[in-house]
Amino acid sequence: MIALLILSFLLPVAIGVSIGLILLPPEKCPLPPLLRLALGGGTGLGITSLAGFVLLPLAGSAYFPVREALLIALALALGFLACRKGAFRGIFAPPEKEGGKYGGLSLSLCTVTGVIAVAAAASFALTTFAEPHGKWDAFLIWNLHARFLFRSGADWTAYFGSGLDWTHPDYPLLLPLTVERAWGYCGVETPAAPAFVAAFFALSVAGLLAAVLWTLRGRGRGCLAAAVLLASPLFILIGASQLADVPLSYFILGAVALLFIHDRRPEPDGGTLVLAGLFAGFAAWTKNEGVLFCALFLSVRPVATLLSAGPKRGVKEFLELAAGASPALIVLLIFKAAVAPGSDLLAGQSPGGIMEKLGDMGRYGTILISYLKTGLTFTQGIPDVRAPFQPNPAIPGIALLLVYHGLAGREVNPQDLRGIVTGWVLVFLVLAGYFFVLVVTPHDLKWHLLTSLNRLLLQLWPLAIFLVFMSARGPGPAPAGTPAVKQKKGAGRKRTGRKQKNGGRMAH
Amino acid sequence: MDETSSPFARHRSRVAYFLLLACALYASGGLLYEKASVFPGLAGKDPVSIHERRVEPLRAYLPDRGAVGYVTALEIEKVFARERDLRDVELLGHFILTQYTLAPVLVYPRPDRPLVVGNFINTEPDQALLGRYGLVPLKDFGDGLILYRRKE
Repeated sequence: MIALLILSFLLPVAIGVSIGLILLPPEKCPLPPLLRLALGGGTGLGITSLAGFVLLPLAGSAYFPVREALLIALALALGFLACRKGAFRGIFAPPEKEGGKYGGLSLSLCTVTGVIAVAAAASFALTTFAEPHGKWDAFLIWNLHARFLFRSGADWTAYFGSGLDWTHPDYPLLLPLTVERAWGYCGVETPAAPAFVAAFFALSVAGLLAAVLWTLRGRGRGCLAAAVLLASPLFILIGASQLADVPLSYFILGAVALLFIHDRRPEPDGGTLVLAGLFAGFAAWTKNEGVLFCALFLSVRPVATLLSAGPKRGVKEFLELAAGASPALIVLLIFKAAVAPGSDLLAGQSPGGIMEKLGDMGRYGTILISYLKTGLTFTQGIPDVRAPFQPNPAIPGIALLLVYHGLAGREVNPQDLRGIVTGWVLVFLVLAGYFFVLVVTPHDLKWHLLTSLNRLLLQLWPLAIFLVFMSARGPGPAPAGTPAVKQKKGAGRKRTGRKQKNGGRMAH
Repeated sequence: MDETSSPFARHRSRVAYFLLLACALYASGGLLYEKASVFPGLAGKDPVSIHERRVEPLRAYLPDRGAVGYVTALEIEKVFARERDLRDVELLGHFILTQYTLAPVLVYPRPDRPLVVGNFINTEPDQALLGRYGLVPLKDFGDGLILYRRKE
């Protein structure tokens, strides 16, 4: 069974890594294999789910073999294209050593992070074995959708028109189609498949966070950031609960991280931004909240570029990001327009009712207090809705990260400034967007806040950790050759130094 | 002097990440201890698996596709209301797990279909409610699970 599950992931990983190699060729954009793998896995699952949706009309007949044959053909074509471009030649080039007096410290940090990772994996496994079908939203929404797709055959549209609104048939299908495909490989509907998908995404988020920070900011920061994420109980518990919030957090993190990779390239081309757009599109194809993120992502970054580098470059970046996001957005549009019913957040809402809620200051106060309380506690675990507010500052969360940043101090690479500003603006705008969705929610406000806010914050948690470590000093200096310039001093000189020492390499 | 090279800044920086690492170790160890201490074992003792095994026999009596109704001890509006009030998710959970088990058959929360699933764990069916909808028992699976036929 496990072998079949692993087999079902080989094609997506091959497709995703090949796309990464084509868009970010190693000779122009030298990235470590671990980072390529962390980016490629999710990319591939996004692509296979899009193919799955497009071919759903074949369900009940040749759906599985046709889809897999097309995916194999796609993998071969992409692999051939990457090979033609010489992308495989530089992929396994050994990274330069990160030495210096902090080398030993960094090594022990990696060891401690390894211990935390093992503990996190054990907690994840225990949670999964205790609840193999996941938590409430897994069997109410995500795995239920996968079951309808897997069991319905040619009649797969019946569920979406069924009116079973409490099961949210309007939610996007990246996760259900991924689970359904894994069941197709196993030939049987096993709870191991959604559990495996959940583990894959949780591992991908942690791997991506560690690898991208390791690449851009050195091994110490990569390890420390991964340790913080893996020690956040809510990340492990929600990840193991087979919900879509961790996969969404993966695509959000990937989209923003790729902006930094783009900005670090000595001669950036559109490939990195196309891949970033692809990630943003997959965020929208994962969960409705991802639509908000994608829309903001496609707006904020071009505006930031427009303000800093002029309108021509801003428009060019928008077109590159939009090109990347378009496959997922087109499929999502077809799904929403032709298959899915309307959202429960809009059902029964009148303009008058929405205006009344928008004018109710009490709702703003309730949400604001909830934001503050949940913001201080959300990483601690799945809350007991009847328990009083109990922050635990020793569990990694926003407060601890702020203390860390305050103590460690700021150390910003000038090339990262635009990415950092874009990242934090995105975080605040997404939170503001959620805020107004909650203001006008047709559901009971207290119930909606209690049952969703911690997960909404979790979606942005890996990104927040990433942004903090992109601007905070870490254990040891930033990698040799990377222009880790403290505040205002000598930014230009050190940038030049990086190019000379490192030959344009981003990492180490 | 650049702040990065001052001994004070370096010590502060070390304190910062030792603090972060210590907290991370504490949190991950705490979670592992908590999960290990309440671990029920590997034998499918979770509520979803138990409910699936209980409801599974129904499938043989239902069509492969189509829709059935659902009835329980309370009317469904009250079941949803109890969950919204954060009072009780038990009855709603039974309904949702019935749908989860019986998919792709669509389970509607009212007893107004020709076939109706009755789910009465630890409760007795409300005869007045059954009478109002004209529900006649078709098969009693035990443990509060009854399939009804609706008189036209």
